[in-house]
Amino acid sequence: MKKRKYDAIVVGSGISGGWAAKELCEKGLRTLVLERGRPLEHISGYTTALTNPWEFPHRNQVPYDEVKKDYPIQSICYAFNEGTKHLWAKDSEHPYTQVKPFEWIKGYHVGGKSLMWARQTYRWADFDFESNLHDGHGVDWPIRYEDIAPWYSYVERFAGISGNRDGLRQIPDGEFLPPIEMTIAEKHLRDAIQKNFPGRTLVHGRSANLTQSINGRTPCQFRHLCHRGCPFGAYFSSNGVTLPAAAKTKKMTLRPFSIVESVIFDEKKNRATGVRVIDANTKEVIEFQAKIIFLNAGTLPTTQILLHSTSNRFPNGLGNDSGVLGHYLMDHCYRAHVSGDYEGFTDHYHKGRRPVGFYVPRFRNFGADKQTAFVRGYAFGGSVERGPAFYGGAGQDGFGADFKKAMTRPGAWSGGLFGMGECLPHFDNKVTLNKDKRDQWGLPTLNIDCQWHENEEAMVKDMLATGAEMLEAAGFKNIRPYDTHEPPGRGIHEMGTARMGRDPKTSMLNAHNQLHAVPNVFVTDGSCMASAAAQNPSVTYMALTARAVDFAVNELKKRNL
Amino acid sequence: MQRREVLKKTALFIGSIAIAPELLAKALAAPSPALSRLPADRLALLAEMADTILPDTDTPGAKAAKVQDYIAVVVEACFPPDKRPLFWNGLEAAEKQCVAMNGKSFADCSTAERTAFFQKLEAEQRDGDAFWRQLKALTLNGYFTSEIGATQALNYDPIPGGWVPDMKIDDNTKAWTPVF
Repeated sequence: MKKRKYDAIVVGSGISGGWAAKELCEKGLRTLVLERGRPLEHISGYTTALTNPWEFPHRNQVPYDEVKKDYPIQSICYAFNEGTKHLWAKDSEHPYTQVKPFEWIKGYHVGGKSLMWARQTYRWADFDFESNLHDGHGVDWPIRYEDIAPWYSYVERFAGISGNRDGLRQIPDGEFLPPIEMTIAEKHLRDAIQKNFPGRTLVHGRSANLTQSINGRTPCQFRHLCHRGCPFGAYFSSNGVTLPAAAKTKKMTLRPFSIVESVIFDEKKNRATGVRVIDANTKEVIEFQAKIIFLNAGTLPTTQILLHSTSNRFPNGLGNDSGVLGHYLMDHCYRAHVSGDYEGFTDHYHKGRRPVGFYVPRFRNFGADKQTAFVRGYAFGGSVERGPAFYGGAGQDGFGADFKKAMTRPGAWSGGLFGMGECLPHFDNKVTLNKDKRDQWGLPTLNIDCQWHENEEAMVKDMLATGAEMLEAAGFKNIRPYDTHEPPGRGIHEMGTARMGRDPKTSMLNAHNQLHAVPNVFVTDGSCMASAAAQNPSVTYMALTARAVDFAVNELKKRNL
Repeated sequence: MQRREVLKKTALFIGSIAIAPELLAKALAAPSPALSRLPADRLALLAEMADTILPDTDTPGAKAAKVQDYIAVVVEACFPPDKRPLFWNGLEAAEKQCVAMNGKSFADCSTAERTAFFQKLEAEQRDGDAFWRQLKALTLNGYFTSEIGATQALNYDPIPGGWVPDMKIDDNTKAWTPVF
């Protein structure tokens, strides 16, 4: 068995792992970054980034047999197609079990899902960090907005976030590049909402797409092919932004094909001493040692590693004195879609393809609004644009020359809103290890038992009603409220299974994302979340990561670790 | 950043991911099994039907864009197995119906005969799963994702370089080619 020594180990190279790598390296620590998947180089790894629609053998559809065999779960994701299929982990190679349907979407390669994410970036509100305390669902966050605010600024400046400073308490303003403007129909919808629904606001979407060049990165070219990887480096990804910064320090060793089997714990020192890795190709077992360990494998893989890191001291998983590890799994509830058509503005159009739309921040149980059917609230995302007329052509009558001409024209303005509901932390939404069902590396697979509860159900009903009434007030036609009834997981915001908290009896991590019980292990991916709020979570993971690294390195210097 | 500079960078990117087009060319050069399985006269029949839906006008039509190949590949590779025979049986039934109505194959019909026949299909087959609707959907998608359809019939802008949230258009403005 080979042994290797580093100052720090980061498990995972996705959104939070990339940040951990950058921060640790820039603070001078020799850092090993372990990625279970294959290498994927910025730009040269984006093999379909410039492929024209007609160059795909199946015009960007993935053949049926391939979907059934390798991607039955991954193919459900909106961003899965022939141009991106190589970025999703094959379900056939990475099995898990579901007690109730849970769609686990994953990308196993350097950069992880930071390559395919939807790039929406909204800060949490002050009240989001206090909601658990106020309504009693979940445990109180050990931090408040003031603790994370400077770190939001820190990561926003480097990541590059476009957005408008709207002065709203629900989504505090950040360090923004200029926003990506709304279409004329969206402005019309915004005005109608403002006039008819006091307390509701429609604002520019905020996204990690550059509208100005920063740090030598090219601004967005409005191709909207982000999910294939951006050869311009115009959106934030580990591959394009944080990992190059880490590499520049010459302190980083990036090791792909490295599946972390467990964290090694030394009972005498009460410290983790390193991690045990299985080489994905050779299946060789290798141990790496370090003074501090950051777990950033993604919510479920990180939880899997902790559950599998057992010892005399921790028979139920590393740091799991409380028994909460694996419990309180959350996702955002994206079930409510409301679409409609707008018949006006027929002589208006737009040019380019935006990587973002608009956002309606939470208005339920906020300010003067009080709901009895549910606690907390939801936000809406959406857009109103003109697609090409041929999109609706199969359902229309006609054929021949006139029909062809009509099909080449811009279609009607259409679009709508989709709800993003806060999901409450429930003990019974959980993951456990399947001791008897192992993967090809001999590791126990994950068993997921998760479902929506009453609060989310009640929210979906309300989203469908409020979404429809807003489109109606703006004069939209053919309004279609639709409950997708999708199970959790499809929101791809799985979080909460190794939560932060004030009390070691009810949480895994303290205010610095440090295991209460093992001071040199930090968890800063989605598993650390004590509640979900309604905002897209990635920028909060980034900020928590940078903050935790700062703390960890200071503690290391003080010889507390 | 100037557009010129961006385009220069793009050229560099193309160079750096040159492996992709190579692989793609290989994939495209290999004849699709769907195409070889389907009898040539059926491919020709599909071509005539698709071309009647989207004919040559000021831009080339569906046949020129090889929409028939697209339909054969997508039905065989991307449709669920139980839907594939439905489509092919639908094609045979339509041809039989055309022979009954006009006394000859659809391929041999005049423009007027084709039009009358398609009007009949359109009136009869209203359901989204019906052959006529499937044929129309496939023809539209195949045509507008083909190089001819995407770059000549629509306005193809692979690297817009910026976002214009509002612009005035007239009755002749073509839609931007969707890219996803």
